[in-house]
Amino acid sequence: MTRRFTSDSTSPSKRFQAFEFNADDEVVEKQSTKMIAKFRNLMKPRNRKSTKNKYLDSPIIKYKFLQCFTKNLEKEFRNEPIDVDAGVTHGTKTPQKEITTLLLDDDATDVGTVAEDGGAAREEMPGLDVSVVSSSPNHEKKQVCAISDDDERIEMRSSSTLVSSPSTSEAPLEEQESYPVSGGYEIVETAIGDLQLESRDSRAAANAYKTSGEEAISSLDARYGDVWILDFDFSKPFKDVIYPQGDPDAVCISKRDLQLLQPATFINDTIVDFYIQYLKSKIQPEEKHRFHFFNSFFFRKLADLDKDQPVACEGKEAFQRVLKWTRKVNVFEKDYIFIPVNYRLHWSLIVICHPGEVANVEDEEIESSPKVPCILHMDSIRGSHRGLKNLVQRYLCEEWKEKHGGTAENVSLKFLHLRFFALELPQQENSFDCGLFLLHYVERFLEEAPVEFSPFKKFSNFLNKNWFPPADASVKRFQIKKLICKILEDHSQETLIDDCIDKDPSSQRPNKTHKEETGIKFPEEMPSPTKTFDVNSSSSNACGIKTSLLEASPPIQIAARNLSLMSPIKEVEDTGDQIADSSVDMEDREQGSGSDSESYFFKGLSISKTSSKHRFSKHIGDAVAGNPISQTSSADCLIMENEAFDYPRKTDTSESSSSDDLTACVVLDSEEENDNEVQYLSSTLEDQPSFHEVTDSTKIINPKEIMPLSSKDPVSDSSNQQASKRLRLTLRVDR
Amino acid sequence: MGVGRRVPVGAQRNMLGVPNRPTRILLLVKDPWENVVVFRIKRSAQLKKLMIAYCDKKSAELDNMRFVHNGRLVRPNLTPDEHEMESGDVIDVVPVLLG
Repeated sequence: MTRRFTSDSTSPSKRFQAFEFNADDEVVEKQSTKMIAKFRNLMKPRNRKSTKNKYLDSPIIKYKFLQCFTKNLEKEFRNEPIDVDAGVTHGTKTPQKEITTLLLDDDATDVGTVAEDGGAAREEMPGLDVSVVSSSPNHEKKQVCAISDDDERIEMRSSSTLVSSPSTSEAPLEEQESYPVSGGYEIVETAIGDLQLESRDSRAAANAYKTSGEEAISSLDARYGDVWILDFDFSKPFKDVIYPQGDPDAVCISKRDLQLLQPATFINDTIVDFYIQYLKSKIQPEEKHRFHFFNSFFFRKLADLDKDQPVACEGKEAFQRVLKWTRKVNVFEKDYIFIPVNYRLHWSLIVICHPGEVANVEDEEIESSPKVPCILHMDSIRGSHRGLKNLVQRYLCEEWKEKHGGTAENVSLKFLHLRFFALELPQQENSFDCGLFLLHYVERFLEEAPVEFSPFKKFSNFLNKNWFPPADASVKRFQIKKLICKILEDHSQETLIDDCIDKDPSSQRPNKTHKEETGIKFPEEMPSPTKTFDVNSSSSNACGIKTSLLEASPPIQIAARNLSLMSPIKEVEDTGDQIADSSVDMEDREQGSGSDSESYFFKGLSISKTSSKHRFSKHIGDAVAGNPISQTSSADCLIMENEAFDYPRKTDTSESSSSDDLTACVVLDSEEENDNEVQYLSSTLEDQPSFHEVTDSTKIINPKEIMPLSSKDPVSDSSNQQASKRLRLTLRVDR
Repeated sequence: MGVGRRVPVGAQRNMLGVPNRPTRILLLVKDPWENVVVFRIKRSAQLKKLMIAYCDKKSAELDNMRFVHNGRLVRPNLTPDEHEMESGDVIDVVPVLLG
């Protein structure tokens, strides 16, 4: 703007008239252009790679940009004196110019000019100075006074001195930095003056600028810190996080839920319940009994909103639906009860305060009593959830009747007149943050709620419109995401073990399908009691075994893909020292057992307890060849650390000594592949002379399927019984 | 040694010949429109099985359904025993809550 006017126009006076710059605008503009220039330099090398737009859109860039802007502002306004000499050195050779610049600079009333001068003076020299001088002689005078007296911070010889006296005009400065002003050094003899121009006004103005702009920016800075987390890698496998561990009300967060924390997404009940659980865990233990949190389904169930009818508030009916929810808790002992409300794709919050006080407080004295029972409704879009009043009142009425019997009829009626407040609170500014507002209401309420709450008390900044800035709630999205990621990391070790215990959904279906492929039927009952069979209970991820029966001579080869947990079931001659191990095995297998076939396992269990000698002995004869013999057996994940490899020698001897021994291999597939493990396993089995096994997760044969073969083969059965081999199941778990 | 060990069940009688609790229990899964599907499930079977079966039957997506038992969210890898479910208990199916 400035440049164009000055360069185009010819008449000085006209130019001056046209040039009406708004000082404030100029400051901002100049600063930002400067910063952008700086910023571009900073970014140049990387800029080549990506497109510019992409670059500027990225939050990192914005962040860096703002940061550098903030810094510079500070520097500009606080630490550094304003640079005056730029214009002087650049253009002018007339002594008058010098004066003009000073005039402009020292104009204490206008900060904008001061800040501007470096830039402006540079371009518009020839015309401007004349007009300024001519138009404002008074100004000059006044300004001189200001220099000498008013401003403690400015000490300067008069402007005339500067111009006329060639020697030096030095102004002692309070601050160390000095800015030589060299003006007209070619015509006049060089005059060097150290000027520091800083007026109170300008300083004050700078501070003002700082408070408004800079603080806004620095607050942004803080928020960016929250927003700024590394992108969660959604491609990598994500184990469900259970939080808090071991709590019956624990929430199971899946990858899908985490994705809901992306910006501008609705959040679901899992996130809400998770964060409420988290807040609950932060409450001091001695305070915990004061609060009760219903989960997000409570209201849904109470109101029965999924029906097409309008909200059904038939008190009794509604109460029956949630009768069992409060079996173990007496809500009337609580100070605050939180009920997240969700319907019509919107979240809001109901807080019931001191419900137990209803019986104690009379209506007349209610305003003066310290604890006032009431219902608070906190809605981030006020008015969007209606009809809650009756619902909650009736619920409390019925609940009271239920807990206190018919004796307190008149008290329960009081609940129907319980005060209901739809509070005016910070409102959401978009359409998707309602859940976060709910969580923020809960959090802030927990932080600030007094022990004795009364809606008639006046709180300075609690439960009102200015409770918190709305942006605080919106940032929660990122805080929660961070939190979950952290918990995920913390529990990564535990989830590894959990994985072994807990089933994966993938485990059940593959078995089913592959069963059909093999076309072998699994008998409903085990024909021989001595035969116990360890089934694939599919508790771990997928148990896939393919066994091919070959001659006894070739060594075992195990090709395992995607398998990390593999354990052979070994036949060991020596039974005595195996008892402990095998019993442990059994227990461990029980943990994960969950499929149809487990009955066989347990059958085996009870049998083995009585006989104690034929445990886990399972013999499968090759129906065609009558030859040995393979058994595939897969088990739940066992927490049998390294035991598979404690007895390699034993296994070897037993294998070699009896050719009709059976070898079983348990393969557990877990998601983490561990090459070492597989290798190790194969090396232990390598010298065993039995047969060729190929284990592959993609080929799955349910051990059930092999059963009929053995049951049809009485020879192998009997021989096995005689041999009284013991089958030992071991499993190595990756540590 | 193990973590989260489950109570051994399965045989109809224990070592002393005392009959155990019934191995299987009946669970009613009820949707918001009061349609009930009855499942017979082992006490020691993970409830995931039930949930998958229900969703298969209803052609629903498992992730979009929540199963609530007595106010508690049913976790797929727990068993009826761990959830303290009794025969005849009702499990409510609720669509995921969004907002």
